[in-house]
Amino acid sequence: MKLNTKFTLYFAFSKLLIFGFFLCILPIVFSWYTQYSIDRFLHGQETKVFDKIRENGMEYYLQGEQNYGSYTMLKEDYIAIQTARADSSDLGPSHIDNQRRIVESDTLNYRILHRFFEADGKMYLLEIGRSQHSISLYAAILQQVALVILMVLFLLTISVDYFYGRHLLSPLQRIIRYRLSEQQFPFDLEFKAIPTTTTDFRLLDEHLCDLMQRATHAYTREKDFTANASHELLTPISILRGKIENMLIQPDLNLELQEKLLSSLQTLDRLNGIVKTLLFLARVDSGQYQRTHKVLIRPLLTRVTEELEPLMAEKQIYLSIEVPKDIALSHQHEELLFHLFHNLINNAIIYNRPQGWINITHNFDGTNHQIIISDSGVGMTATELENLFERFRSKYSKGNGLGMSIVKSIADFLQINIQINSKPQKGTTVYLYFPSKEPID
Amino acid sequence: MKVLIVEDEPELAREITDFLRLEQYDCQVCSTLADAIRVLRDRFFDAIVLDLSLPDGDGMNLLDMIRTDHPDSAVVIASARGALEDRILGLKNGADDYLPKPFSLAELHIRLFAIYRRRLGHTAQPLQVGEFSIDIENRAVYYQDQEIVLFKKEFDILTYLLLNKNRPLSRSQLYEHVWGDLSFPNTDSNYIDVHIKNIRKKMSVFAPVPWLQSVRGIGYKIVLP
Repeated sequence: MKLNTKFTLYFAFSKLLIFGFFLCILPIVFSWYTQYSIDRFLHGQETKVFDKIRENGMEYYLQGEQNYGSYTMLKEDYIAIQTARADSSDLGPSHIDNQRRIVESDTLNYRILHRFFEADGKMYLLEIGRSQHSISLYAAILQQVALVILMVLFLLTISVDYFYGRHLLSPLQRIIRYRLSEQQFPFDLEFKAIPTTTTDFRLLDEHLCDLMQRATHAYTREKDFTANASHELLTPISILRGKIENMLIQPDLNLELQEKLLSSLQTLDRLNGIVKTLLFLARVDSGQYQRTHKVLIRPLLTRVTEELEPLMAEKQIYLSIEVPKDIALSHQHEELLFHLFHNLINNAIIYNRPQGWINITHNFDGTNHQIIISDSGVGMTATELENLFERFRSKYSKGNGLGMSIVKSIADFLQINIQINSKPQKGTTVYLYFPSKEPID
Repeated sequence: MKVLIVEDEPELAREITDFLRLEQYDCQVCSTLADAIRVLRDRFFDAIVLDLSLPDGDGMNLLDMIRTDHPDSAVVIASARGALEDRILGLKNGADDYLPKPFSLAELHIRLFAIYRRRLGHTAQPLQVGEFSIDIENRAVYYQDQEIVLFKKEFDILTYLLLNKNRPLSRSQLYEHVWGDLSFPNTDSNYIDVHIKNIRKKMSVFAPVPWLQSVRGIGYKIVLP
């Protein structure tokens, strides 16, 4: 998931949580606040009533009656004074509670202030009430209005978050695109800085460019070295070879000298073989090949075995290839794979017994393709198996001792896992596990 | 056949010229890019043997010039830059062939010979060897009118020896020839021996092949008067 999407989802979630919490506590806060306001109002009214009584006496309210009661028009508020059977112990500060009253057949919830007081030697009870009906009505409306406003706010802020986040992260997107996705090794060294005002992105871009430049320089140095080494090592061999070949065509050359010269040529070619192989190994090890080929394994194996057919015929070796025709392996290099199979199958022939067999099979375990090459050859001891891939030490690399090093280098480069089982006089089995996805360096 | 050798290593240039002159080639040597450009302005060559690493530049630049100004000259790149990519690049840029160093002079000779034949559209007469005739053009071997079926590699070995007749060729030279320049010279493989054995077996059914001789287990040659 992209960073911006993650951020937007996080913001949306946290906002939803905050807004939801706010909507939940809104009625509680509202009711607490309105109650507080009503209570203040009731106390205010109480003070006013007592001010009037002090000023005008009880007659101001009672006007000859025993009790006094007054409702406003919509029964929102009322005030009542009535004689009370109470003693002086009931006197004291007022208290407020909620009570239900039936007024003209309507049941209404009131917040009521009660206060006992004494006047003209009589005990009275003062009640001032305020209806809560309209308040609960307002609470519901307020909650709905708040919900709508919050929804609008939510969508607005999330959009702003998303687009601003995208704008903010756009240099990172460009870094990923131009430095990682669209680049192929060896990198193009013409790096144009990605414009950004964010210091972190600028640093990231600079460091990435620096690393890519270093990798490319190292690669170029290595490549130059192998090119120079090729030239410096192979030119003297060329000269020597030319000289010997020219001596060999001298008309008056006696047979003994001819044989000696040919033998020297052969030795020189052995040296040539080692140099070429070492240069090839250096090229493979420094990754100077591209793993971009899609290789059909069966035709490749056929190519290899056709080349080696005369050797098999000579030794009367029976070859069976059980590899489906349509198995194609991606991110490979056809020529390198050819060398790998050629070396392995060549070994399976050289170290086989006359009238032996070689089996090449394929297996797919759901993730990896495997090619298994088994033979009825002389096999190897544990020590020989240990030194198998050692340059110049391998007993299983007839000739210059580099055959299995080639196999190992190619396999490492193509990220093919090799496992070998071998027992003396029982034969050898080579398992090649091909990578299931693009190799990563 | 006129051949220009563009090679900065004087000793190697001399060996190449000595060898090719014996094969009746008319050779001229240039050791720098500038030298080659100057010579190519005045003379036409049937073939140009071109080294890529020259003291005053990359031979690949000369190749472009040759392709424009001398489309009829064949170019064989002879370079120590033997990586597959270099070869592909050289052939893509119009070279006729690519010989990685160190190459065998016998190999250079038959590559030039093949180019020469191709360029002239010239059909060579079948070559006679003993009682057999070998049609290089159609890749066929005949005893009188009867065709002898040789495998591709067997035919390649036979013609290579034949075109370098009376000259011993080492096993590694033959190996490199049939395997092409992508191979690693494998001097110890009996691959060539097996092929020679098969050639002898197939041909001696019809007539003896005393002309195909081994040289002390090191190489082979075809001896013809």
